[in-house]
Amino acid sequence: MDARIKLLRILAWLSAFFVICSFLMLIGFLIYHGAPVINTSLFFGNTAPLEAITGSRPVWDGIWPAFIGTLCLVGLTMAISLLPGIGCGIYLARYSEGRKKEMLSMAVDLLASVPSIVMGLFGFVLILFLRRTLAPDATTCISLAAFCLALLVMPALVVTTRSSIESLPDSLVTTGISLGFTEQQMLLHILIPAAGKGILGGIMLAMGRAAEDTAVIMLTGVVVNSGLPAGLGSKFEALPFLIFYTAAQYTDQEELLRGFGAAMVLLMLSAALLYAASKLQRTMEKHWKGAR
Amino acid sequence: MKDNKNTPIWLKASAAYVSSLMSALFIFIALCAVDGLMKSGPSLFCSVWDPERGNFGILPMIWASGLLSLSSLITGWTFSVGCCCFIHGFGPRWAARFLANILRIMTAVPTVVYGFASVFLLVPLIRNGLGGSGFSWLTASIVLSLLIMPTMVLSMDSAFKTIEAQTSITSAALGFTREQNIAMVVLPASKQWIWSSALLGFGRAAGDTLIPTMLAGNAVQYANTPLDAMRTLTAHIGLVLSSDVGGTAYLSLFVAGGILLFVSISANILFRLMRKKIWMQG
Amino acid sequence: MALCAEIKNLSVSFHGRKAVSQVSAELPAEGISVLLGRSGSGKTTFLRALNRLNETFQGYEGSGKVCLSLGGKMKDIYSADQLTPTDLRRKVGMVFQIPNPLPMSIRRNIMLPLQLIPGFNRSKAEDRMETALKTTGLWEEVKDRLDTPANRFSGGQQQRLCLARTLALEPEILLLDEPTASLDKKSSELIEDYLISLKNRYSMVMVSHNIRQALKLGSFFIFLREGKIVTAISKKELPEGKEAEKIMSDLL
Repeated sequence: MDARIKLLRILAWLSAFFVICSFLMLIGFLIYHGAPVINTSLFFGNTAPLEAITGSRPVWDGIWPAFIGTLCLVGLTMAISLLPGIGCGIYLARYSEGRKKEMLSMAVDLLASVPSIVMGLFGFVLILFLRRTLAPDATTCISLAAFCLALLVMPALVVTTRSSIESLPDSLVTTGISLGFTEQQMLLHILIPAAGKGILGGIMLAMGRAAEDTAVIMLTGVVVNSGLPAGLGSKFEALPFLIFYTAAQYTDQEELLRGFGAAMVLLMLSAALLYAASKLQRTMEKHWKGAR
Repeated sequence: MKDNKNTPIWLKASAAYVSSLMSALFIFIALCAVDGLMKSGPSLFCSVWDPERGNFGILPMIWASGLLSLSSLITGWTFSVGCCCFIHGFGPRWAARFLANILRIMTAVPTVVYGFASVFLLVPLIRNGLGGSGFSWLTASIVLSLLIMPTMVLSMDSAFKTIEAQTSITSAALGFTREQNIAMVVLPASKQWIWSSALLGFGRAAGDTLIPTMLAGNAVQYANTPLDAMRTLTAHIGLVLSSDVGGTAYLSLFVAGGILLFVSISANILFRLMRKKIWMQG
Repeated sequence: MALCAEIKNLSVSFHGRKAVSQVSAELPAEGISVLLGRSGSGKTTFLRALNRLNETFQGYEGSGKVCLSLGGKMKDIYSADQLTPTDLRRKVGMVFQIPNPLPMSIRRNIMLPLQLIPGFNRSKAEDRMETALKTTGLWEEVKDRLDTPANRFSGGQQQRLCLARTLALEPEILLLDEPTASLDKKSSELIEDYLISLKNRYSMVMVSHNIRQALKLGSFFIFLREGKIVTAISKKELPEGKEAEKIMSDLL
């Protein structure tokens, strides 16, 4: 009996030590090298910031194009995935029953478990297929990447929307019905606003996933030197790929430091999104636990 | 409320859209994998990868994927159990809270950032301390186990919380300390939850691309010692497609993708079945 | 006697369990009709049959006929061509046992249902809100705090808000499901007073578990037990004072 507790005690301390040390070391190392290089020249290199932002002159030695590329990518992904993701979540929470509900939630679960490289492969196959059939000169591009990322983040949207709607008290629905709300009105004016914070949290979570994923975009059109994304059918740059590429292919100290800077920026972006998400979800929980 | 006549059309459409995307993905990958298997058949299951001579063996990659994900799972899972115990009474309160916060923050760290920091911190450490190039099974395995821990800890933690809340008063009345309660009552009672978390972690470990690509060295070989380099299926897909080999090499990738899809979906289904069983019992 | 509701052979079950079976009744248009019975006797289900709320719960099955007097005519509310459930529920307002303000401000709580009626303009809605709040005596208490979230107010105020919200829709019939059960004595009495002041303007059907309250407010009583009607009597048939209370509690 005592031996077991002793063993567990050793394991517990060892595990805590392992996690805390490795995490602090990795992040500390990153901050140590990355924090000092965060300034305007990290973003814009030698190009004047104003000209870079307006796009009148290209940025060659800064992370600006990758930064904007990531923002565009996330924006495009959300534009494609928001409506179906939230819609499917609401459908699961309120309008499906029995086998249908089980099948659909299982499909969403399975989609969540698909490795992101397989999503990328799917995008790639899709392009091969398009080339052979409809559009002979289809190629990998930012729209394709966003489409595949949308697939990747959809489950997060569906699941958080569903659980926020399901966590609302039943009396809310009954009240709405007794006041003569139609189904559509109830959704738009009562349920979605009431579950709004939870849904917003899910959106942040999904944005975080879209911003950090590398495997999908690697197969669907990301490059290292395209400049700002030129249009929906163009190649693009992105922060995570820039970081990935730097780790393997950097040629001088300056590029390496830029990599550290990019890693810091991406880390801060993801951390901010996750923080916002958890904050929103927590206030949502508190709100409804406080209510009857 | 559940009357289908009143379901707004956009909701039905979204549900149909999501399920059709899911099926499209599944069908496309499965078809391509079957196609690849039919066309290059047994030549895939050999040990030589040399596209120029027409050898597309992916056995070493399958081996590497299995080895890496299992080794990361074993360390990650063991440490996850340890962390859970630490959070629930084995560690001092402040440290427990600190650890829980760190685990929560870890979910926000992009995989590529882990990879990047490890390339410049862990790889030199291993190279100088243990020899070899530093890009090895061991390196990838350490980082990967760290990467999959938060998911597993959070899932075990919820079970620990529920069961501890149910049992703590009884155990205290019987004169147990909190540690004893965890070790003798909570841990055995949450056994199934803990096992099913392993499936969750396994799915993540087997599907991760970035860590093996950045840290495992990518040599096509059977790794014998932890310091050998290896190339996993996920890394293989990424490397070959982004370097544009073209032609028949793709077939082997589709098979690789099919295997990954099959493994991750099986792990997930198994996970669902286990959790369902737990619900039925509880 | 003018009727506000005519119920024939009403049966309702949930997941195969009968809540109300083969009930027929006629409710007078004048005054408050009170449904009495122990918990589980089917009085709430009976009440909810009058605004078709039962069918929004899972496992609902129902049969029978319910006619309500709306717009001066008796209408079969379960026949498809007469009224949509949505319109019906606006005309047959309901107040619940537990105050259920929507998670928004007082103003929005009352205005939102009005604004969702097609073709309803805003200034008219404002007027209705003010009238409704005055009718329930809330106006003086909340007129400076109309934009405060409704759940910050006391239980009694919230319940009066819910009553005002229902009244703002200008219903023809009011359904009250133990409207004072979750309130303290003082707030209950206040609500009771407002209900008495309203009883000449609306037909009301109320569920109550409290005989004193039933006698104070009601003019027609229906006793239910295990989903069936035991008796229905009007107040005129009862003796005065203590004796009435005794007869009623024997019936319960």
